[in-house]
Amino acid sequence: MSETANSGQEPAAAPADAGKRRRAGEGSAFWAYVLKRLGAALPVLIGVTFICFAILSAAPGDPVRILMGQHYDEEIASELRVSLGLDRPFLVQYGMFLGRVSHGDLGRSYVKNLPVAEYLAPKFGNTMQLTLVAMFIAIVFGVSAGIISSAWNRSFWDYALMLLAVAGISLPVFWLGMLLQLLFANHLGWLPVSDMSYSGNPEVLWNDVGGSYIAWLWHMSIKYYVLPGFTLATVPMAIIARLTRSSMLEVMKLDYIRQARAKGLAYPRVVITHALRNALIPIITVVGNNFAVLLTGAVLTETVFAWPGMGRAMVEAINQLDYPVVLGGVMIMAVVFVVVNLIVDLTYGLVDPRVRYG
Amino acid sequence: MRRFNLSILISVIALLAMAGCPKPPTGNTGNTGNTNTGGTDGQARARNYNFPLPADVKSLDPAHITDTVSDSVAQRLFNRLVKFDTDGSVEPDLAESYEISDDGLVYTFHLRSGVKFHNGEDLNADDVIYSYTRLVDPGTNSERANLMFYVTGAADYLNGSAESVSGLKEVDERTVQISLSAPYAPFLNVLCMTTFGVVPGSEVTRDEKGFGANPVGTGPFVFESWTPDERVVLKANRTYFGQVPEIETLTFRIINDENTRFENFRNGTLEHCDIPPSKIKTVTDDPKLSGLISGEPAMDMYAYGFNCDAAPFKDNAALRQALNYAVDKQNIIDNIWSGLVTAQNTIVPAGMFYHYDGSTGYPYDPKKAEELLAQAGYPKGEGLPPLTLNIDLQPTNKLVAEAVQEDLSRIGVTVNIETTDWGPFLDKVYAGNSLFFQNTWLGDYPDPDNWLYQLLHSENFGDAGNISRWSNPQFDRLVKEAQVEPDQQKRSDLYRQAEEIALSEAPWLLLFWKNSSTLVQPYVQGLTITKMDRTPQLNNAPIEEVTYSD
Amino acid sequence: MRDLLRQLFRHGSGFVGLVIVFVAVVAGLFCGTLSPFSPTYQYRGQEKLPPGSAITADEARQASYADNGQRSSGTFIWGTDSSGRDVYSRVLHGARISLLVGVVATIINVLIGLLIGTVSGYFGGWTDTLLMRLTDTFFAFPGVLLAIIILATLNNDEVKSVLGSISGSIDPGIWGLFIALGLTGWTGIARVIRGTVISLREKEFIEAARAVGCSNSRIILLHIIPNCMAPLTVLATMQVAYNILSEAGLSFLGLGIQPPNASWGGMLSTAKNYFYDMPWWGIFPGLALALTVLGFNLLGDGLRDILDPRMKVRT
Repeated sequence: MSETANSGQEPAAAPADAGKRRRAGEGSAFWAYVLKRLGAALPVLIGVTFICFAILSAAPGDPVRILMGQHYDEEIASELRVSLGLDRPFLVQYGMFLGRVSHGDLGRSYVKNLPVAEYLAPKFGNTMQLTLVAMFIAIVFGVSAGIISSAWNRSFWDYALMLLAVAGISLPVFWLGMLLQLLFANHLGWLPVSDMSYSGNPEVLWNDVGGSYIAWLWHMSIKYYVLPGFTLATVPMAIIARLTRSSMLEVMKLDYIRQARAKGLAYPRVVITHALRNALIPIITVVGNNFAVLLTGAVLTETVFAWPGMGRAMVEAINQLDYPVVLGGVMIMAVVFVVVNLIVDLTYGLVDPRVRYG
Repeated sequence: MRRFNLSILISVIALLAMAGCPKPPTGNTGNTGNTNTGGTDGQARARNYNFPLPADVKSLDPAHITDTVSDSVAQRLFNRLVKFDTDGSVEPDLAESYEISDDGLVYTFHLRSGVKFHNGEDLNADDVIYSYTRLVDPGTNSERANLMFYVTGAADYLNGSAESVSGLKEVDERTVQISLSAPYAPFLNVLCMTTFGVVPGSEVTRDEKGFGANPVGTGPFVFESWTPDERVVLKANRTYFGQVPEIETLTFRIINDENTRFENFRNGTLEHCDIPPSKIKTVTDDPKLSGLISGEPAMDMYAYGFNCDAAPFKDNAALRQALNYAVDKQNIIDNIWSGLVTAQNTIVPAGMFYHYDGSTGYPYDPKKAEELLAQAGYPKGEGLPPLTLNIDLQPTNKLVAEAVQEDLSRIGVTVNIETTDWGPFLDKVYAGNSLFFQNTWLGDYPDPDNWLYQLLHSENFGDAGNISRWSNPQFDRLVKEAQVEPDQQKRSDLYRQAEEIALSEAPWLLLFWKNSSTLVQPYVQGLTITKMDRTPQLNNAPIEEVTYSD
Repeated sequence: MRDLLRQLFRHGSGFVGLVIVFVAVVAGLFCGTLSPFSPTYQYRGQEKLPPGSAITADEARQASYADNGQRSSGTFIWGTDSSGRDVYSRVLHGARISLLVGVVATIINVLIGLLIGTVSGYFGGWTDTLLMRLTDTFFAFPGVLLAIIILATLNNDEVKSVLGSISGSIDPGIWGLFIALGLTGWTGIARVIRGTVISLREKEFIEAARAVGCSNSRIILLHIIPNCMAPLTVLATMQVAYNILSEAGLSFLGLGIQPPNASWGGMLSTAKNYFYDMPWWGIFPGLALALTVLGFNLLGDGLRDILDPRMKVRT
């Protein structure tokens, strides 16, 4: 599964909602807009959970049997079925689920001895960290590559970087991860193969590195983020690079850039201060979209690097027919998706003063 | 906020990412000294044993332990009346001594004095009675209640027709008497299982549901914390009645991925680990690593089962034999397991008083397999529907399945492999919905009864253990006779006859015995890995005896 | 068509994409005759051989491969895997699975996306609102997980026996992949088509058709859809690449194509643990996968430049 926005879904421009250029007071209008957007997200959340619920209800396997393990007893099983509400009709079960969710209760895992929220919270945190690192890498390298490509349009570097970008979109992330492991972990031994932090005694490590905080932090944590971070960053990095280049080229054709150059401003200054700022809107859109997609779909990178994140937890839950975890996880991911998209839309206002919320 | 900088976005993301950074152990980043750690590597390490587990613990309540992972932790928290020595013989534990009446019906245990639970309470005979009664209390709903059924009155108590278990008697504060309804030769072995760990009645009654996550026992280690899917931490029991462990902290680290466990071992952050089959060559080629392997063929079976209660396997021993002869076990052993497993030629493993040394099992013989297949009514596999083989998700198990699939296709039998997670897999097999499935078993106690009775007797038909749903009246009778036979030689003879029947009837497709081959760090001393261990759980290895050499 | 080819040829990278895609299609179509060995036969005693290892007729006789109707001598040009199967033949057969899943899933994506996009854009109003909410919902659903959940649901004995009986020699797991990927990847297509239809709706020739009394379905089929072909071709080409990657990802997780049948993702998932000792087992299927996807992406880029000049600057 490609952990990226569908390449067919590279957004060409900001969504229509954000583009509404109406005059209105800031402040209250802003919050009204936020509320309106969140209200519009509600049907999406209900739709997502309903689809998930509907598909799962058709899935094979009996959760009660899995819950009970070896000593299956029909009487206890039917009691359990009643207490879990599994004997009720499908729509009633879904209603019960919504009722619980509205009270902030995601239910209890069938397999793990824990409430779903408590089980998923640390996993979500782990995936969030990895995604932030990957996004950081993707923006820094992607935007730089895009600027270089556009500034030296049709040069050797332009072609080389853009070829790399197409290759980046085409590389299967899990294979890239395997190659990076082989080179940097197995052959060179610079970086760890998998896992997300040093698992030994931190105090011993502290002594081993001679009490240097940076070295300690590197061995304790940072070095574990490098390979999965770059692996996960590849696709958004490539998309950001392509998009930065194209929107920069578009902006640089505009009159005011020509004027700026005519005024005798230095070329790099024009590129960075004038062109880049105006090329940012599509870049932010793609950052936002990819952020949500990365966060919800790091399954493969997490599998390759044994990263204890949300994606792997979800695949495991699906395999174990642990429906409360699946539903809760899908719910959380959909909420994140909606919220991140909202933040992206709000960011347009910061970038482009012409955008008003109405 | 009218001007926007990309650098703001980048810094926000960087800051968010950094928010999770760990704090240095001394709390003072500028301090290069080791004020709290108090010593060198060796000393710091000596206080901690990092113990890998391949899955999360389910419960630490002895009454609810059904899996080897939970068992591995619980073993270190609880004591039973008797325990296994590293060679598999029974030795006293909480009981100082015991007597068995001549008719084999009454067991009298004399408890050690001065044993304290981790919460400071004294352990008395009534705690033993409480712990055992609890196993058959309908309120406890223990998965292992059936282990108590040999005790007089246990079944009556479970179904509510008795007020107490009549076979459990507190003679005095230090003496417990257990009466059986019929002689049962392996009874002491059964009592060594973690299920019979003694729990403090006061603690359990206070919060029965919560006990599994907050256990209190008498063992060499005291429960400290359990972070789900991450770690379980135990501390040495300074007031342990036996040898107080040198290890101060025993940290069970839950690492699902076998390669990650291996990498951690290589980085020195685990004290022992299992060897991933794909890395055996790496290990044996590396002189530094190959010297660290310890372990031996264990009572850990990996075979396939046929559903003998459904077509086409029902009443068709020739078909089951044919498939047995068709599989090239040596290929699996050499190519997939690189010699770290042993061919399975018997049902009862080596390492106990009875073992059928002379059995040749089912050697690879495709010609014979084809003949038997024809005899079974499916010449060249014609008329035999494709068989679905159910296995779990372990990558190595998938390779084994593909090898078997290929071998069987060469005699004309089509196999489809279906991989599912362990839970749904068991669900399918226990419900009898699978025809052909992975059948694994790690011995609970070193007695043939744990194999022949538990796995093949018709009293355990279906989810109680006989998942092949095979039954043979003569076999049943012999195994039952052996249970009550006090003379070990006679028991051996009975088991021999029974095992021959089972071998020739072939309810299973025999494959191999796993080894408990484990990589152990060179400075770890005194970790004895037994035949009853599965690696890396090492349920029976006495971790409390481990010392560090440097 | 010839014109398009000429333009592609002039485009350069688009033509490179076309050539890669052509090679992949040939491999997929003729993998049976192109493969030197059977993709599933385990040559016992020939396990874990590096690329270029030869098997002689003598060795073959000893291991009695010929008795099993297998080719008895030759060279494993890309080596063998841990079970003694020819990696080259498996990669060739993997091409068939990848392309089949990529193309069929894309056809389903296009049909759903086209239906929802045109209806939504043409009729507008509450139909539009409703369909776009549905699209948003599917877009917000984590794609990988939806595919996995659908596959898990289809992993059902009754469903499998039905699918098994209609798939013949092809792995029945492929149907699940068709459905799972077909149902998850259509949202982008639906949105773009909707946008195109909205811009077409007000055009004069549509007004004219309506004035002549053409029915809505006739207008959609004869006037709207043909005018959507340009963006659709571009999107569909890119979508094939995406679906091939997704199929490989699902197989990598152990879903979809079942052993012993070859798929690139499935090969990589087993090869992963042996990567250090047997790199060839993981390198070749990975390269095949990356190149095929690159081919479709380059072709898609090229087609976009040619068919949709408005978007030219965006590449």
